[in-house]
Amino acid sequence: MNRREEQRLIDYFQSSHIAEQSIEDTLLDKAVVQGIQMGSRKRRSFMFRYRAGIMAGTLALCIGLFILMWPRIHVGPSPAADKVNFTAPDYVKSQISHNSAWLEAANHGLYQPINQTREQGGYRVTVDGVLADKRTMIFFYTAENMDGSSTPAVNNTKFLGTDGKSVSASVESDSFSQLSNKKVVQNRYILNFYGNDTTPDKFTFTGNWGPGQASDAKRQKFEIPVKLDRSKFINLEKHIPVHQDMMIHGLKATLDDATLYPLSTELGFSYDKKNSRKIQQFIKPRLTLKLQDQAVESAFRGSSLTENEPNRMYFNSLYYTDFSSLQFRSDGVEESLGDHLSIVVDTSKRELVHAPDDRVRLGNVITDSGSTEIQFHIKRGSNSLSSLDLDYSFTDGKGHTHKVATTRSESRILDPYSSHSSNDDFDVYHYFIDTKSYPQPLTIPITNYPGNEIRQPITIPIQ
Amino acid sequence: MQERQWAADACKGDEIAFHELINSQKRKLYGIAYSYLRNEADALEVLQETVCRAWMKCGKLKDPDTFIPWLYRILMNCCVDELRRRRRVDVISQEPQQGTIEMVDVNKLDIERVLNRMKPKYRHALMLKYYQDMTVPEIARILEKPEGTIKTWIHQGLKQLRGQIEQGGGWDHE
Repeated sequence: MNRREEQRLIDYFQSSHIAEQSIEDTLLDKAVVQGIQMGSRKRRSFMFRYRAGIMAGTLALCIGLFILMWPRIHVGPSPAADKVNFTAPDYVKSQISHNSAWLEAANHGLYQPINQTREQGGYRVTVDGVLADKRTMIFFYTAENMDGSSTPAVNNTKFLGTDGKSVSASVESDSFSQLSNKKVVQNRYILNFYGNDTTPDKFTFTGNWGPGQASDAKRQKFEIPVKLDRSKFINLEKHIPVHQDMMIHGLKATLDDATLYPLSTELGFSYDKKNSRKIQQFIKPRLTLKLQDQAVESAFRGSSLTENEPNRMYFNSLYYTDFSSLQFRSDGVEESLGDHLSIVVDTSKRELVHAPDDRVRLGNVITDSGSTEIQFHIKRGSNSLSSLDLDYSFTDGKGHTHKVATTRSESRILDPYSSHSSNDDFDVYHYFIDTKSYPQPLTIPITNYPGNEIRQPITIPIQ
Repeated sequence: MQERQWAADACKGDEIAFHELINSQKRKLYGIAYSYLRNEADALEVLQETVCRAWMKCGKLKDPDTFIPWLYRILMNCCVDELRRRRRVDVISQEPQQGTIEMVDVNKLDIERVLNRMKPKYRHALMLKYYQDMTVPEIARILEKPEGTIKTWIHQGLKQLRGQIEQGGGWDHE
């Protein structure tokens, strides 16, 4: 009885078949390339949650890491780096070999086999080993579904310290996962430690394993204690005092020091506290070093912010690199518009009440039965500038705090996101709130906002 | 096999592999976008947005076998977003139209109108079956639902199509 509707649909989609076949390759290629470029820009910035309570509990430390992919071509690999001189499972060797700094560190004895296995409920999880220095830990594990054919999947993974709380580190989990077959997953996490926190000697790796879609009740909780030998790395650092000032358009910054670790390089900056104007980021920061007659750059990996200024900057490791000179370079700075910025919007009148400047405008307000999408248009500037980001909480006109909307099953937060149209000179920021009556206006704190771009080359000699 | 390797490498952050994989799918992705939006410029725009979102998030994928279904889901969500945006703009800027549709196939306009009002999940299922010619298990994999649910959605979608065209349209949902 559906045959007539089915035929109508098949006829209807004929025009899509024709469009699919007749579209020019150049147009498709342009869309693909622009999509990748946009994605590359956006994936540079994502926030890591960082356990509060450090730095004597007084300093609001915000780790805003702008992670670039670990580059495949790394500065300074010695000829010996091409060889694997440590014992590990093949997938670990393969992963470590992709990064010459990791390989150098592993070949210098910093890979520690753990080989701790737990089995329960048809699952087997093995912590294979750890490549670690004082600031970075790369953690390798294998999970196997011994009974079924589905791929084992994990949620709620944690690295718990001896106090039972999550260790103070940013955890990256999204860069590698390998299926040796459908039942076995090999994976890694990268933990970065900041401030006074360092790689611990004891911690417990926990997670809930089960089939991909299983609820928590159907998953197996694993707790695997791990012990490391910190004596292998705790003293491996080279500290270089610098104390060089730079001044740019009335903004002063001091490069205090550089510290080289086997798996990363850290620079420490301080700023003129009397000046109310602030640098919120350096434009295109990099380390330039001389290797024999060749100048090479070491890629920027991220920065940690104290009071919204980048007090520590992280680069790829130079520890095992034999350089003759080292410089910090940047193309300029981005000056912050100020602390505690916010957007105030009246969604019932569809009016933007307040924004930091006229680069933000209110776009559409789209109401569904479950959620209301507020679209903000932000004028597109230089690629080097920060992008708009809003907090996941906002306050209504009576000062009550609300969270952003979740999906109907409340299983997932509707994350705000940016989109981009090549026909417009602005990006669209999509922000979702529950559809209900709020006392107006709504105040949404800004967590990231493009500042004033000041372009002026900066060079500071380190060594 | 090649696509699986590209997907595995793309999940690890390999931009070249990601680009290759998208290249192998770009025409099909565009066609799907066109089937929703019926307009070349908008379909290209949605393709671009899909590639952007996929490149931003593909590192979170653990199983390369799920890459293509996941890519389709992103694309379909982008299309629904665009249709919602359009509907909103239409409401704001609707002008009375006169004498502009004489040359257009009325049957197709009817179907388009009904599809645009249909719940997205029914529309996705119908599009994958009657445009992409996919089997129910294939659709189930893309939409991450049991096969029985997909059969129900297709049945419901067809029923709505028949009912609304016969009645001349006009119902509310959600």
